[in-house]
This record gives sequence, structure tokens and C-alpha cells, in this order.
Amino acid sequence: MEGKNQNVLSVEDLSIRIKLDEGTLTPVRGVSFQIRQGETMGLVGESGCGKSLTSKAILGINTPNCKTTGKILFTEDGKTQDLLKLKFGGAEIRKIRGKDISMIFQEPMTSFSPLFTVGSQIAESVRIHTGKKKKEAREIVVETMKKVGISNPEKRFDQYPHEFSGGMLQRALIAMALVCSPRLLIADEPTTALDVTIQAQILELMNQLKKDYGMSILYITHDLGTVAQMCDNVAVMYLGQIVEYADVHEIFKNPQHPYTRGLMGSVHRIGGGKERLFSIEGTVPVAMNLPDRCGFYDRCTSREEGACGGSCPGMREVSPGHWVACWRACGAEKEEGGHE
Amino acid sequence: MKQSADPKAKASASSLTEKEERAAEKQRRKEEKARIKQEKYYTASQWQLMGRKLVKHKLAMGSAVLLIILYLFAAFANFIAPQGLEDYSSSASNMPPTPLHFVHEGEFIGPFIYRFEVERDEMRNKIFVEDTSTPYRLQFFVHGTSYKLFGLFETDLHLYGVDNSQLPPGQEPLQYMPFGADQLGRDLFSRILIGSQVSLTVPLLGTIISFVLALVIGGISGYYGGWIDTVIQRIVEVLSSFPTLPLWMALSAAIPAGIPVVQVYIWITLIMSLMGWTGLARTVRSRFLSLKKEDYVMAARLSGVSDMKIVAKHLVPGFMSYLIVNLTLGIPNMILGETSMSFLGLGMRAPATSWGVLLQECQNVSNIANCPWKLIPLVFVAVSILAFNFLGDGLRDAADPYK
Amino acid sequence: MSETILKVEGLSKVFTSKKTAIRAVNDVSFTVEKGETVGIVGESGCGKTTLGRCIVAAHKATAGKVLYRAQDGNEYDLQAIDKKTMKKIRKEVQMIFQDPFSSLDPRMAVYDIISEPLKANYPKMPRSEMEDRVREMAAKVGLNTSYLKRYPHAFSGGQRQRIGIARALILYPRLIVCDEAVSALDVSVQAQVVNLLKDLQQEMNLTYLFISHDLSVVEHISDKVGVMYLGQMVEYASSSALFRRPMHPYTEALLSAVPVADPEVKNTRIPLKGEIPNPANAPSGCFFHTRCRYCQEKCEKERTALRELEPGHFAACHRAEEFDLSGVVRREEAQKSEDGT
Repeated sequence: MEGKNQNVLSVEDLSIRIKLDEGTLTPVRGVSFQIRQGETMGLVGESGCGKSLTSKAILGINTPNCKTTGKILFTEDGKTQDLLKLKFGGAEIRKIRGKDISMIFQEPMTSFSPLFTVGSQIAESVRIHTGKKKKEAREIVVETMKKVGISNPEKRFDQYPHEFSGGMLQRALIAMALVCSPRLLIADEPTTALDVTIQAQILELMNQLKKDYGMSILYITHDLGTVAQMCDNVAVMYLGQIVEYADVHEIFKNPQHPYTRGLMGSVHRIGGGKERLFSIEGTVPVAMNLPDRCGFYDRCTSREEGACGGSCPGMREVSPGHWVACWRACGAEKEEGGHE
Repeated sequence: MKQSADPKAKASASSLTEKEERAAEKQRRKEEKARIKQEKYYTASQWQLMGRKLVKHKLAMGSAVLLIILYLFAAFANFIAPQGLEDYSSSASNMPPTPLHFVHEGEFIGPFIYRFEVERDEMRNKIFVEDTSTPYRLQFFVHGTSYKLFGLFETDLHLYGVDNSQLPPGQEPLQYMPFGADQLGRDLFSRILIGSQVSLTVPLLGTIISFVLALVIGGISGYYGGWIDTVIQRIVEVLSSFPTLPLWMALSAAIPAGIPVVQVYIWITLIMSLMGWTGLARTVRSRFLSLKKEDYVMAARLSGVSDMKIVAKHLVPGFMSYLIVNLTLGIPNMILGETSMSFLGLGMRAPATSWGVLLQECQNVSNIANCPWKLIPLVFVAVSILAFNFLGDGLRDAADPYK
Repeated sequence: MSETILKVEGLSKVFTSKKTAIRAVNDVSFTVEKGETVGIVGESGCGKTTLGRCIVAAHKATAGKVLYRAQDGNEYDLQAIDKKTMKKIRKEVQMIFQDPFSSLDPRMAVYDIISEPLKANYPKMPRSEMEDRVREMAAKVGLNTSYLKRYPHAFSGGQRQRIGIARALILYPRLIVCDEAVSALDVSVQAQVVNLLKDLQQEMNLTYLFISHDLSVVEHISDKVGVMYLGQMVEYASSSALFRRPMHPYTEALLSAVPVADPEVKNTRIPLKGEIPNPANAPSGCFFHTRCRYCQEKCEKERTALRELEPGHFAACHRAEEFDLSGVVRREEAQKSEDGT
């Protein structure tokens, strides 16, 4: 099949610097990853690890005080272009944004303007990107709304956001993201604000739609539970860097980076007994004036003065398709970590 | 780690380690400094953070400096102004600003002025011509009209002026008038300074009074809620829906005629503050209502902190920064209010003066055409209002550094 | 034999506005034994937060009793208590809040925040003693005591939550209502705080009412769990029983929706029809009947109440005896044995 293994998005050495009064923040430091067509890639990390800034950089919607360097290569119809080279807020990026790449945000309530009907806001996107007339746009929107499981879409089209419940509104937001059949959908914590039962519905919907549309998803979250259910490949971020990358089965079965292990250990699994949860001690440092060493050094329980105190570890392939940024992750330890 | 197989590298290893050590020491000191700075930031209270932010706001800081100068001028007005409140000179009526000279007959002799001679042109209009025969030097600390500094110390010392005591007998004393003179021949600059004592303090006092009123009334309204709140809010609405001008007129009509200047001053301050508290009271109330819902207020309540303490320790500090911003932004309105009242003859009355009183002469168009310098008080009004607005903007940006 | 510390009886809270009356809590009854942790779970709007606030008497309940057995052995109804006694009981019943950012006054230094309850309750306490108490408590919750002069803005969410815990514990309370105490925290920090809460419970002999929407945290920390739906408690049982074999169809659906952090386990979600009804306009009969897949005629007409179906296992369902429902634990076991064969 053509394009099955083709990269839709390739982020290369992405760094973001933000100048503040107190100093310069480096929330994203040299992030690289690829998303293939039809793949769901999970970007996992805790708050402040730079995952949201990374996703916003792809869409070019970070505030202008974010100095972004690196490359964001987006491939469409065999044509590859660097999104970072496009002018901030210019016509070209706007053409891609919302059409080829679209995004679902965490807070559905604030993603819609309360002044306009939900339908008209979705239709606006269609009219801008396809130049369709109002009536045609409405038909497309109603069709999409039906697809994302909004019952009675004809009536819902003319309702205002406050008449929707949170779950319905998130569906509407997904409809808005999908209405132009994007190649890449960025979902930034799409279910964090929702209740579990609704979360399950939304995730199922996203999986179904991914199959129907053949698009790729960049799924950003801190919730390992949903990652396990959603993603094909997972990248774990810590302090602005990707510290581990592998396919979802591998990373859950055989986590290599101490941070990934800590993260998995701190998630309690129902039925897992009452013993103490594993917790990573300390707190995430502020991404400012960071020393040139492994970012996890201070909190790592398996650090070694000599080996880890030096420079920053780069990503290494420890087994096929499994990349880790840790000086100590190697084959010997893999056996140890493999049997759990 | 790195392994150096090169013998040369080994030889220079000792000096290298020394260098490295020094670099490490430097690095350590730098880190220590950064840590102390960070700790200072962490232990900074709201006001300290606010102050730090404000200092960085250049426009606000410039305005603050300007305002301090203006208020210092007002405080020392009698000393700086060469003329007293009641001095006048018929010969200087409508005199234009006096030019300042430095060179007399090709010789530099420091700042001095010439005497103005009154002549008539062919249209029999009064014109002022400089008599360049005798220079009159300007001096610092000259003796003139006596006054009481801060109402306490009797003195006749003025910052600058022409030493009129040295004049030959029979000659009229003369004045350096940088902004010209008014109809009665009074130095406009002196009058502006003395007027600023009213124009800059009435708003300040008025704001403080309306601040207290707003705090109490708005606080009661927000804290108790219910019917008390409803009643107070209706009163506020009624008060703020009155057109200001007729209300001023009615209120100032209530000021008894012929009372001393000080009493007029108090009356005007009261009128201004009675008009000004309504908006502030609303701000107080809404902040009260929103802060009451904060979790930390509930936490305090649950740990048995009394209601009064909650108000004093959590609620009032919570909106203080907002209030100060609102206050600063409210002062310009009061300046304008006082100026307009006096301009319309409803406020300060002669012999007392204020910027509004000074502008009264500008009610006559021909007066402005012939003596445009009489508009100079307007510049002071505008500048002080802008300064307060800029300062208020800066405060607003700095306020509540947590949000 | 364990001793009952809290008995909630028929608690209801109705919020009335001009047009509507929202029954946030509807006739809830349960008991809490001393030293145990009772989890209250439910989706947003189910009334769990209101329930917690009624128990600490931050809200005045519309009906019902909150019977608390105090240190002195007497039982007090926290909903009908005079101010003076309340002041005494206050020390024993405290709360930990969800949002570590809004629960600390940004204008107070950490020391002042933690010592505030002491100042309010022991105005005569000497300064040095107060300082010792605050330091001791700060150390207990894992705060660096050199940070006491700092302001909340200097701390991360997890550290702020520790400050909030220290404030709640400084009066040596006996019953703590944790209202989504770890929900706003990151996963790794969440684990830290959960461990801390468990340690403190042992050390200080605390009883927790742990309100949360996060089922896995509740399962981990709680001895008993109450499930709420539309202001009503639909199931109340020991944690192990509830997660193994729930008896209410809503609990079953809720549990099935929890994502399992294991790609090998397939989620078998039980779909719920429709959406949560508006609490201002609750359905007739069993509140859950509009979304229940086992709904029958009886369910549409008759109200449900908690019934003890097995010792210590209560459910509010007319047909509970007919079902054999599976919780997370049982389902996973079933899946594993299937995979094995």
C-alpha cells in the first residue's frame, strides 16, 4: 500500500525558548519524532514537560515570545514543507491549520464562542478552507456531526454552546476538527475535563474516526490509561526532552527509562492491591538554567555519579524500534526490567 | 568518561584542573547568587512583587516622579512662587510672559529681565515694550511678600525673584512672570502653584473619603448580601444616575455664602467624595462576592477563624490592590470635577484660587485671543490627569501578580 | 471492635433559585468507622462535593443529620449544633481542598497559612510553641521547613497540596474530608500525596472521607466506597467487593469505562444511553432508569433506596438480586483466563 509507512509529520530538533523577567525558559529542548500515516502517536508527560508547547508549535499558534527553532516537516500529497519557515499568522500556515492539521483542545467550553451557534462555527471552517457556499457547508457539517455521534444534528446545528453538555460539546469540537478531513489531528488532553463514561465514548469515537478517515493522531496526555487504549507508539517527555520512544506494547511491558518506569509505577491499577504506590521523589525542576546533564538526574533512583553526571544523554536504540535517552539503559538491564 | 591517551594532554592536566577548579568555583558562586535571587522572589509578598513590577513600568514610574514633583511644588508653593495670593499690580494687567535675558549690551551678566513699558499702538491697544536700558537681575532667595510656610513658619523668603528692595524709591516693584499675568496683573505662575494646593489636594482627600465610604458600604453590601445588599445597590444606582452637573450646582448652592476659604475647601472635598464613592463601592462589593467563594476563605472558616478576621486578613487584602488601582484611576475624574466646578464658579471663590478658577478668565474668547498664555493652567490639568492615568495603568499591570 | 465516628442520616441538600430547585444531595445515609477511609465516587454534578461540604457543615443541609462522635465520646449533629460547640468540634473535622492554587491565600506566607487555625483556636498559645507545632507539621507532610517564609507562588502543585494538608492537620483533627485532594496533581505527584495521606492516617489515626472522580485512586486508598449518581447514593460497599462484583448497573458501567494502563487489556465498555439528566428535573422512579440497560417497568415508577443485599454491601436497585455484574477486577480475570485457553 502506498504511503502506509510514509511520514506525515516529522519534527526535527525542535526547541523553544521563552524570555521572561526572571530568565530564559527552555521548555522544549531538541525534540524529534515522526508520525506515520494512520498512526496514533502518544506524547506523554506531566504538566510543564513541554508537550503542549510542542503541539502548538506544529500549528504555529504559540505566542510570539516563544522563540522556536528546528524543523517541522509536514508532508502532504508528496510535497514536504517546513511549517516553521512559514510566516507566523501568514496565509500559508492558515491554509494548513484547520484543514490539513487540526486540533482538539482540552476545554470544550472555552473552545467555542458563546455568541454563535455551534453549527455556524463549524461551518465557518468549511467555508474558509473549501470556499463552499453556506448551504453546502451546512450539509457537510450536519453530516460530520452525525458521524461523531451527535443525535439530531439538524437541530443541534442551530443551538448555542451553552445548550450542549460537556461531552456533546467535545463531540462538536471533534466534528469541527474533522470537517475538512485533516491528515493530522492533534488532540491535546481531549478528555481530561470529561467524566470517565464520557471519556470512554470520546476515545472510542476517535479510534473509529481514525479508521474511517485514515488520518494520523498526535495524542497528548498525562493519562497512561488512555494512552494504553489509544496509541500505536508512545513518546515520553520529561523536562522538554523525549526520554523514551517505543511502540505501546513494548513501552508498557518493558519501560527502560527510569522516569517512564516511575510514571508507570505511580499509576495505581484497579485490583492491584493496597501496597504503597511507587512515587518519583522531588519535583520537576523549572526549565531555566538547566545544567548540561540528564534532566532526570536529581530525581533518578538508579543514577550513577560518574556515568550520569556528565553530558546530556542522547536517544539510543536499545532494541529495534525502542529508543531511550538514558546512559544506563542497556541490554543487561533490559532483562532485569523485562520480567515484571 | 573521557580518556586522554595524548601525553601532552596529561602534562597540562595539572594546570587544566586548576583552571577547571576556578571555573567551577565561579560557576558555584553564580549559582549561589541565582539561588539567593530566586529565594528573594519566593519570599516576596504581594506588595513587594507589585512594587517590582511597577518599577519596571517606565511610563508609570515617569508619571510617579512627575506627580511627586507636582506635589512638592504644591507643598512649597508659597516659597517657590514669587508672588503671594493677594498681590497684584495694575500696571502689569494682562502682561505677556516676561522674556528672560542673559546678555546685556554684549556682556554676559546672568539671568535678568527688562522692565516692561506700557504703550499704545495706533489702534489704542495696550502693548508692552521692553525698556532695555536697565537690566534687573534675577536672584535666588529674595525677600518679598511674607507668608506662612505650611501654615507654621512666618517668613518672606522666596526661591527666586527680582530684589525689589534695591530699587530706587518711587520705582514700581517688578516681577519676573514666566507665564505672564492675568487681568489684575498677578503672576500666573505663582497663581498656578498656589492653585495646585487646591486642585491637587481636593482630589486626593476626596478620594480617600470616598475610599472609606466605598470600603464600608460596599463591604457591608458584599459581606451580608440579601436585602441589605439590594437596598445599597439601589441607592448606588440612584446616586450614579443623577446627572453630575445639576447635582453639583445644587450642592454648591448649599454652601453658605461668605464662609472662610478653608470651609469652602472642605465643602468641595465633601461634595466630590459624595459623588465619587458609588463606583468604588461596586468594585468592593463584586470583589467581596468573588473572594468569598475562594477555597482559602472556606478553609479559614472551617478552621474556626472568626468572620471579622476573615474579612480583615483574607478579603480586604485580597482586593486592596484592585482598589488602589481603581483609586488612582479615579483621581483624574476628581481633578476634572474640581476644575469644572471652579471653572463654572461653583467651587473655590476669590481670593482663593485653583486651576479651575484660573481658567475662568478663559471663558471670554477675546481674552484667549489676546492673552493665550492664560490657557497654561490647562496644561497642568492635562499633565496631572495623564500622569495619574499612566500611574494607574502601571499599577493595574502590576496588581495581583498571581493572576 | 471498631467505633462509628460518622453517621450520615437522610442528608438532603436542595439549591433553590428563582425558577428551579436542584436536589444536589438526595437522602444520603451511610456510616463511617473510625480509622477507615471511605471513598465517594461519581461523575461531575453527582453531588459528591456538596455532600462533603454538608458533612463539614460548610453548607446547611435541607434535611437530615450528620452525627459525629467527638473525642469526648458524645455524639453531635453537625447540622444542628450551636456555635460554641461547633467551635470545639471544628478542630476535629477538617477538609483538604481540590485546587492547590485557590485553596491557599496567595497573600500569606506559608507559615501564616499553616498557623492560621492555631491562632484562631488557641489565641493564647505562646509564639515559640506555635512555631514548633508548625515546624513539626511541615516536616511531617514533607515540606522543607526553611521554606516557611515563602509565599505560595513559589511552590508547585504538589507542594501546595502538602501545605494544604499541613493546615488541615495542624489542629490534630480526627475526621478529614478530602475533596478531590489529588485530582489536580500530576500522576507522579499524585502518588506522592496519596502515599503521604496513607502514612499520616496511620500516624495520626485519621479517618478519611475521600471524595474523587478518579476510580483507581479511590480503589487504592479506600476501605469502603460509595457511588453517587444524581445526588443519590446508589451503591455502598467495601472497596474490594465493589470493584470485583458491583451490584448496581451504574457502578458496572462506570467501572467499565475506566481505561486500563495496559495495552494488552482490551476495554470492554458498557455503553450508557444518553446523558446525565438535569438534576433540576430528575427522572421519575429510579434515577438511573433512563440510561439503564436493565430497565423494566417497575424501575420507571418506583423510587429506589439503598438495600443491604449482602452483609455490608448496599445497592439502590430494584433488580439487583437478578444480576451478576462484573467489576474491573473480575473482568480482567475473565479476560486473562480466556486468553490463556
